[in-house]
Amino acid sequence: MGIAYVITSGKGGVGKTTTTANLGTALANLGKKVVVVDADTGLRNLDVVMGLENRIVYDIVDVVNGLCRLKQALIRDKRFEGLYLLPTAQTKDKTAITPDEMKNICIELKKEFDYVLIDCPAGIEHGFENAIAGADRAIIVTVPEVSAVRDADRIIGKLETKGMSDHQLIINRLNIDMARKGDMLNIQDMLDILSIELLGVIPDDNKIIVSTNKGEPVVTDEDSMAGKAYCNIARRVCGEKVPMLDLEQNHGGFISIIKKIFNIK
Amino acid sequence: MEVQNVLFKGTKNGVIITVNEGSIENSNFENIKSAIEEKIYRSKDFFKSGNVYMDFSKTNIDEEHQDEIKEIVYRDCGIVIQNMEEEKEKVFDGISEGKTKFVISTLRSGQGIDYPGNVVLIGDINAGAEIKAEGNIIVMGTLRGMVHAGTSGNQEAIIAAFSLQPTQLRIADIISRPPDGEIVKPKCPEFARIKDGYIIIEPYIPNKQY
Repeated sequence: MGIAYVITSGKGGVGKTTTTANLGTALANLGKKVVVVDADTGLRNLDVVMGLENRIVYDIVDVVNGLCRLKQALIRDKRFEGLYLLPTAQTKDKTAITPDEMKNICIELKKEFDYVLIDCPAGIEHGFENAIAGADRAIIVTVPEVSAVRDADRIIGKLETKGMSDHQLIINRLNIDMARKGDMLNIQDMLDILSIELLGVIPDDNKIIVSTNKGEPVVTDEDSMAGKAYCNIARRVCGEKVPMLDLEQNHGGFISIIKKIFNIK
Repeated sequence: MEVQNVLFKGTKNGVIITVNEGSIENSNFENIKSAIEEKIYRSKDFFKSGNVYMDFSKTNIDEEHQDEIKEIVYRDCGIVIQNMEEEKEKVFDGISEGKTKFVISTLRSGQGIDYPGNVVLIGDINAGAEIKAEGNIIVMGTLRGMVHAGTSGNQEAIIAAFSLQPTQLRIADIISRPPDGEIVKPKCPEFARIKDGYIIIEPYIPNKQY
């Protein structure tokens, strides 16, 4: 029996879809059987980010309407054997699926896969309700901005009233230089506000944009800092203890080493 | 030539057994019954898996007797005869001349057209949009989305576009997609059709015989 994670944020554009694609790919890279589920009916993107758009024949709405079996709608990834995508429809809207139907699909998927990752749409309406219906745990993605943290807080509250209390936080797109200068919310401030467990920090990385446009998750790029961070998160999800990535290594140089020795920030 | 009195026909949904009364000598119920029994009994293993339907529309057998035949078949051969579903969906045949929908606008992501005939779109169709038509699809612009021509099964249907860069192309029950990797932008209008069971794309060249 697998476990279902919902990847959510409240605010749009903080990197839910990118996180879902990369975490799924990284978990598959560790030899797990993973399915990533797009719950953003009508504004689907996960297929594009994973480069599987042109393989879609059936989607989750067809499964719900009984037009095909669940297995027929699953698309195998072109790079990793144990990775599958369950796409959603683009020409329908969120009401095409009910939370109960989503729950049943997740139960079916959990029998087959070790990890079910559900990519949640932005907002707290019907699409959000659907996405969290079948999930056991939540991963909340936020960026170091006041508005994103505010929305993440609202989402955590929403999840708690639904009876889900097992959340972890991913801080995305952290600009190390700015955080160090104090121009950006720092990690500790965010953890103080949200008071949940930190799963990982993803540094700001231009390679993400390139990889997303190409449809190749960044974890396949070994030189990328963000890719490394996602790999570490995947290992933490599997239960390994992995130290947080030293985000300053790329911005190193003599001065920063001296600063580190004398513990100056 | 002797017309076969009990015909088997394979379809998408299963096997249909058609009973043809006219060809059975001294057509009466008993004769028909024995003809069916004999024919099915000989190949009963063939029917074991899958759905089996029986079509009595070419006979005068009333429902009571139809049920009797079905029961005999079940008893002797262990085959369950399902009820005929309403008339099979008709394949659209207006490919060269038939009803056509004209749309003058660009189809954006999430928008779609589903029409039981030909579709002519004057505009682009973007990625994430789709057209499903029972006949041909002609796009007077750039085709970036998903289009499905001949949805009811007409393999003669074609897809043509000024610039053909689809996410996926479907004609009748055949699906194809562009190869992964480099995207090559076509320089001239192209059209797609089925040839030998595959969807092929050809450039449109004036004065060429297709």
